This record gives sequence, C-alpha cells and structure tokens, in this order.
Amino acid sequence: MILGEYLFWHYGLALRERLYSALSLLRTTANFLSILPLAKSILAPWHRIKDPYQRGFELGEFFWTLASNLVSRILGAIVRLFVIAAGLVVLALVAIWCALALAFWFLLPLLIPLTILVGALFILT
Amino acid sequence: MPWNRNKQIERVVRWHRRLPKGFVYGLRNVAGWLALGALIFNLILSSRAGLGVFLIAGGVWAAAGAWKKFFEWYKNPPLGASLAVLAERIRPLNAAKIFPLFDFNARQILWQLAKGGELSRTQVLVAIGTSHLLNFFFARTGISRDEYLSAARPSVPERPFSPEETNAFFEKALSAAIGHGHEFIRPVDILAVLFDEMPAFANLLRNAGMKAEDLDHLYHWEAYQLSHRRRSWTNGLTRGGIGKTWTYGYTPTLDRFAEELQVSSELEALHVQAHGREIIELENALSKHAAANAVLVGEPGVGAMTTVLGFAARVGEGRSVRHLNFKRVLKLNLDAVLSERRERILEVLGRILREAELAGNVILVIDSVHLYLTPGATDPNIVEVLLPYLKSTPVHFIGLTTPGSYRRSVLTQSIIATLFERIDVNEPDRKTMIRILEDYVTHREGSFGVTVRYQAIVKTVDLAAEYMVDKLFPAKGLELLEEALIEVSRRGGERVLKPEDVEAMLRSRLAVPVGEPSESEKKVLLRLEEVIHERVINQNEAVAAVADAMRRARAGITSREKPIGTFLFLGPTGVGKTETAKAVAQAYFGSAESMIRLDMSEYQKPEAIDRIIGSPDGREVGQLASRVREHPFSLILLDEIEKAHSSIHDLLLQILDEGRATDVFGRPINFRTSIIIATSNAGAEFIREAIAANADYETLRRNLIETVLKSGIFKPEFINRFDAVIVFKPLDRKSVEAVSALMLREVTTRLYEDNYLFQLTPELIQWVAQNGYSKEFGGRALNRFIQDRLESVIAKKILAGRYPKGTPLWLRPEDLGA
Repeated sequence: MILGEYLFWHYGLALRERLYSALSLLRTTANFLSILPLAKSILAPWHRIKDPYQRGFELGEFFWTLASNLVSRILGAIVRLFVIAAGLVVLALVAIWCALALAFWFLLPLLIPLTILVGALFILT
Repeated sequence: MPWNRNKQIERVVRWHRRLPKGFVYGLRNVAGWLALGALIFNLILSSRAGLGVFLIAGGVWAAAGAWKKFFEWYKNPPLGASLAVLAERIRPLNAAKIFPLFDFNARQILWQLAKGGELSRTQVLVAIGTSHLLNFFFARTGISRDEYLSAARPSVPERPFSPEETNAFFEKALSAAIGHGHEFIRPVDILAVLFDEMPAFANLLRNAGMKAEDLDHLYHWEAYQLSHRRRSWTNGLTRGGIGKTWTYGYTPTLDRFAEELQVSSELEALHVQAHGREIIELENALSKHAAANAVLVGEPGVGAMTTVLGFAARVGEGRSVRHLNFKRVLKLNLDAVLSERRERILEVLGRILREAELAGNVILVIDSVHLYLTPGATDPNIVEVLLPYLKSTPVHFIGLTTPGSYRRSVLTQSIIATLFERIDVNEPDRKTMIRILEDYVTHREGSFGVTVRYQAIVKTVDLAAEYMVDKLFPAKGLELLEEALIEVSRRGGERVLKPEDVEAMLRSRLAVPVGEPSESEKKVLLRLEEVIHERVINQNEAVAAVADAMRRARAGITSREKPIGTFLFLGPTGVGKTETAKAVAQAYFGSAESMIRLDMSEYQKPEAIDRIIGSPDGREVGQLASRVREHPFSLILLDEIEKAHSSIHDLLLQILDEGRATDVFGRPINFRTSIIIATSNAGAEFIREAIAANADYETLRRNLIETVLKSGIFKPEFINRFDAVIVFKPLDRKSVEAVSALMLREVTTRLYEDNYLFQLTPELIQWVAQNGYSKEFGGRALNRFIQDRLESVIAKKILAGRYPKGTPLWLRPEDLGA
C-alpha cells in the first residue's frame, strides 16, 4: 500500500517537479551565459562605442568614422561569437546532465534494489 | 472516508516515527560520504569491494533521499485551492469533511485523540503543548511548558466532545485558518479557538502580555525563520548573465558621481514586506513608454530609500519587471556635481546624463530631489539640462522627497510634475511593523548575543507608536529595538531582551513614566495630593480632582486616544491655578520646566491660529505644534483661555477629544502624551460672591459653569470636552498666611544657599500676609510685595556689608518700613 502511494508520488508530482527543475536549470544557464541577448546584438558596437558622423560630407572624415565604428562592431562580434560558442557547449552539457538526472529519477525505484544487489555481489564474489 | 485516508497516513507516519530521530537524514549523509569515499578508493585501487561499497552506499543514499522527499510531501499534500474555496465546496460542513483540511501536525494530534475517544478542549490543548510544536512559542514568550500545562488542565475533568461539538470545534478552527489566510488548518488556528473558549489558557497568555492575534504572529515568525534558513542557496542562480553588460555602454563620468545600489536579499527582506505595494507601483511607473520616472513621497523615516533598495535588490536578482531586470540602479550625487567649478557644472552633468542615456541600462536615484528641481535652487540652474533626459525613454529617474517639499517644489511646476509619477510611501501598520521587527531580530539578534522575547517586539511597536511621536515607522521601531538590544548585550549572565527592557530604555531616553509604575512612582502617585500641596495651599477639591485624574492615567484606565488629562481651572487671579499646573508637571513629568505655557490673550485675532499650527507660507512656525513635537511629554498650560479667538477654541475641541491635530502641512501633532490645563478668570466675581454666601464646593462649581455658559464666554461643547472643570476659590486669611509663609521660606532657602542666614518669624509672616495680599491680584500681589519690601532691603544690606555671611539676620516689620 505504501509502495503504491510512493510510486504514485514518484511518477506523478515528484517527476513533474524534477522536470520543472531541469527546465529551470537550463533557462538559468542560458540566462547566465546570455546566449540570446548576445546573439541578438551580435553586430552591435562593443559597449555601444560609436563615433557620430559629422554634419556635411568629407570623405576622409566619413571613412575614418566608418572604419572606427566597424572595428567596434567586429570586436564585439568576435567576443560575442566566442562566448556564444562556449555557452552552447556548456548548455549542451547541462542538457545532458538534466536528461541523465531525469532518467535516473525515472529508473530510481529499480536502481535502488539493483545497485544494492550488484554491490553485494561485488563484495561477496 | 477522510478518516480512513488518515489511517493510511497514520501507518506511514508510525513507520517513520519508529526510526530514531534524524535517522533518515543521518543515513543519507553517511551513505553519501561512504559512496564518495568508496568511489575514490575504487578509482585509485580498482577494488571490486570498493565498487560494491560504492554501489550499496549509493543505493542507500538515493533511497534515503527519495524517502525524505516523499515523506515531506506525504505529510501535507497540496489541497489545490484556498481553504475558503474548499469550505464552500464541501458545505454543509462537518468534522469528517473538515478533517483532511488540517495540516499534518494538527491531523496527528486530533487523530490520536479521536482514536482514544478523548477529543476535548483540554486534551487538544495538552496534546499540542506536550508535542514539539510549541518549542518556538515557549522559547520566544518565556512561558514554560509547565505553566502552559497547568493552565491547560482544569480542576474538573472535561467530558469528551459530542459529535455536534466536534463539528462546531472543527468549523471554528476552519474559520480561524481562513481568517489567518493559512493554506491548511494549523495547530495555531486550533489554539486561537481555544484562546476564545478556555479562560485559563487565555489568562495565561494575557498575563504574559499577549493576545489571540499574537499566536498567529509567532507562527509566522517561526515559519519565516525556517524559510530564511532554507533559501540562501537559491540566490546564486539569480544574477544577471555574464554577457549582458557587454550590450550596454560604459559610464566613466557617471561612475565618478554615483553609487551603485546593491542590496543583499537578506537585507531587502527586512523591510520589503513593508513596502511591497510601493515597489510594485515603482515598477509600473518605470515601465511606461515615455517619461518613465517616479518620485517617492514620504516623511523621513517611513522608508522611501528602503523602498528603492528593495526595488534595486529585485532588479539585481532579476525578480522585477522583465525590461528592468539586471539594470544598474545608481544613486546620483548631485551635490558632488554641483561642487565642481561653476563653469564645468553643466558640462559634467550633461556628460553624466549622456552616458546614462547611451549606456541604456541605467536607473538614476536622486535623493531630496526637490533641492534640485526648484528654479533658481542651484547655481547654475540644472533643471534645463535635466529636462530633456527626464522626457527621454532610455534613462529612468527615481526621486525622493517629502510631502511638504513635493507640494512646494514639484507640484508648483506643472512640467516637472507630469514627468514624475507620484508614489506615496506610508508608514506600515502595526501588524506589518511586528513582522518587520521579527525579521530584524531573526537577522540581528545573533550578532548582539541576545535572545529577544516576542513580547519585547510587540512592546517596542506599541511604545514607539505612543511615545516617539516625532518619528515614523519603521525607522522609530528599528531604532528603539536596536538601542534596547545594545543595552541588553552589555549585560553579563542571561541576555534576554524582555518588554521591561524596552520600557526601561524608553524611560531613560525620554525621562517620562513608561510602562508599569515603579514602586517609588506608585508611592508618589498615591500621595500626589501631598506632593502638590507642597507648592499649593488649600484648594483641596481642585488638587484632589487633578490627582485622581493622574492616577487613572498611570493605572492605564483612561482612554489612550485622548491626552493624559484635560482640565479647565476657573478662579480669580493669584489663587494657585498656575502653581497647581507647575506642581502637576513636577510630580508627573519630573520637572516644573516640562511645561509649555501659552498666554492666550496673545491669540485673540483670527490669524492667531497660524501661530498655533503654522502658516502655509512658512512665516509662522506654529508655536504649539513645534513645541509639542519637540516635547511631547509636557504639561500644556493655556492661560486666560477665554481670551483666545473662537477658531482656536474649535481647534482645541479636536485636541481635547481625539488627542491629536494636524499642522498646516498636514503633519499630525500628538497630544496623547500631554496634560492640558486651560485657566480662566471667567466668573471670578461670581466665585467671590458665592464664597461670601458660604456655598458648598459642588453647588458653586455647578452654578459657576451655568453662569459662564449663559454669559457666552465658552460654548457648552467646549466645557464638556474637559475631563474636569475645577474651581479655585479665593484665598481666605489662613490660606494667605500659609502662602506668605511658603513664599518667604523660598526667599530664606535662596539666601541660605549663599550662606546668608535669614530668620523667619511669625510676626513677619503675618505682616506680609496682611499688607501684601490684594483681592484683585491674589497671591501674585504677595510675591511683588515680598520683592519690593523684603528682598530689596536685604539686597541693600548685603551690598553695604551690613549683613555678613554666616550670621543670622532677624528683620521686624518696622525694619521694612511698617
């Protein structure tokens, strides 16, 4: 009877809670690594450093401003791309971890007696 | 059916209880460490046995962890709806339907008792008291378990509940839980019902200075302490992302003139519950599309800056509105900007604001914002530089100001006023204040090494509300509690902060009688007439009436919604009205100087009201308002009240009735810790005639009031507002002699202090009484006579060297020009 109650809880509410926890961990990791904001602003100038274009048209001045703004954007893109790539790797690792944890929880009622049994066999044999 | 369900729970619980206390937790820890050790051992030595131990220990660790979580859930599975909704669904109510709504602890107690057929009030109270549930209650209230149990057990055994009584009892517990806003019916709700139904239990709590509502406060405090211990690990997950700031701009100039507001969630939790509404309003105001700025308006001490700190914590931890989350909340130091060279000020401010705008993640906080927004308040005028940024979207501004300053500096400029959304920061109510102090104690008592009793917290809130009228909550409550904590932490031995310590702290700080009267104070109160008579001659009825009122006030019988005592003294000049007031101030407030004296003949014109409560233009400070605010524990003497303008009489109606008024700026003035005495010569002639006709005191008093009312000097409602109308009779011959003796003794004492030994004779006293007294000016004429005829002569003798120190001096009436 208690076992029935336990299994009802284990595969009902507790499993749902674990699922939410896994999703929350993934979201927190993605948020921490800022993957989405970095992707959205991938070509934005680094720390918004941007020279304003002067009034009137002077070729040298125009190209100088364009070049310095491009440097700012390229620098920003390089740093962001690097972080996004690293972030995706970390996110993938976290996703694998979450999947393993969920699988572990799913199999836990079987794993507990199994590990104890196998462990005893290892010791005794 | 629900009872059967409980059998199931009961079995699990019984099984769980058979295990030694903490067994599951201990087992999980031991198994976890063993598994780790075995894993390391196996990795180093590749041992099969090590692998076996790792597998077994790991299995036990996982099983114990799962069991622990299952058991926690099993005790209190969520009900799925609020108690109020569930109660509606299961109507008509009975015990069997209500039973599943109790929480695990309550269910256990009721189930055990019902099984034994012993469900009665006494049994329930005893069962709760002997369980672990009241450990926190006993520790925090100072009530011992033995005291509790002896109050719980009646002299005559109580019969068990009938089924109808059980239904009624459960329904009351359900109502209490709904009233407390609980998720389940908890043991504290049962205790609230028992408080109403068991006088011995109610008396126990009342004697310990508690009410029924305090049970719920204690439950919440315990719950807060437990939740506080559990939540610290979650904070690490709520920081902003590592790359988020890369999308925002640098602010080198702004950083020089601003301070980042970063608050730990622990500190935020201290006060945030007092300002939850304001924080949400602030978030809404800053979420607008344009001119998303807010101004927090509150008196100093109500927690306007705390609101900003609470908001900053939410923003910093990503718990605020999505587009505000993880922004930088910076307190801009405009004074530092204004201290730059004059020609640089506008340039520096412009650069700061441009950086803030370009950065795109800045919320600027400006304290005392009114100081900078008034045209001409700063040199050069910075409003012109600020205006475009106040209208822009990327930068948000939060201003802090007081209601008076807001009215004067912000409201008068319609453009500025429309750019800021006003958010009023109000004082927290009593219940919230108790919770704030509970949180404060949870975080701070450890650092003081003091244990704080719950009653000390309640006492702090009540005393601060009553006596620290010039300050506001939460600041005054926190200030008083902290001072009491510091005081108790200096003690040796058991360091427990009790209500008496809070009273003692306030008593020493304000020099006023607070709390239970001490033994010496009780003695003074019981012989108050004698104390007053040391200064006032005769006037027995008047002195007795005043003394009675004072005793009632200190015994706590009088209303706390009014001044301590209000008296109208009627009588001719110089019969002891002012002297009685001084004597009362001396006896009650410890000094005759604790008196605010206003000559009401100076308040005869309609505009005189400005001099009482202040004028809107600020030219008149409001003499009474400011003095009462500075010295709330004073005797207010309103001399010649009949001469004051009728508008002042109307203001007094409210003060006498409610013990409070508001000054011209809408700030409350508290008179509930004052004694108000108004004096009047009205009807003096009538008193003389009545005394000559040998009228008794009560008839004289009644007829005098009638005469005064008929003459239209006072309105009936004005007279009726006083606690007592006291008539002072003209002095008779004997009294005049006694007053003369009193005054001459004062002269003797003053001279004795300089070692001049002036000798008083009965002959001299009689001479002064006969010649110095005048019907018109009463005792005052005596004073002047002594000055002119006696003191002047003595002064001449001293200056001429004819009265050496240390030698006795006798003066006869002939020596004084008789």
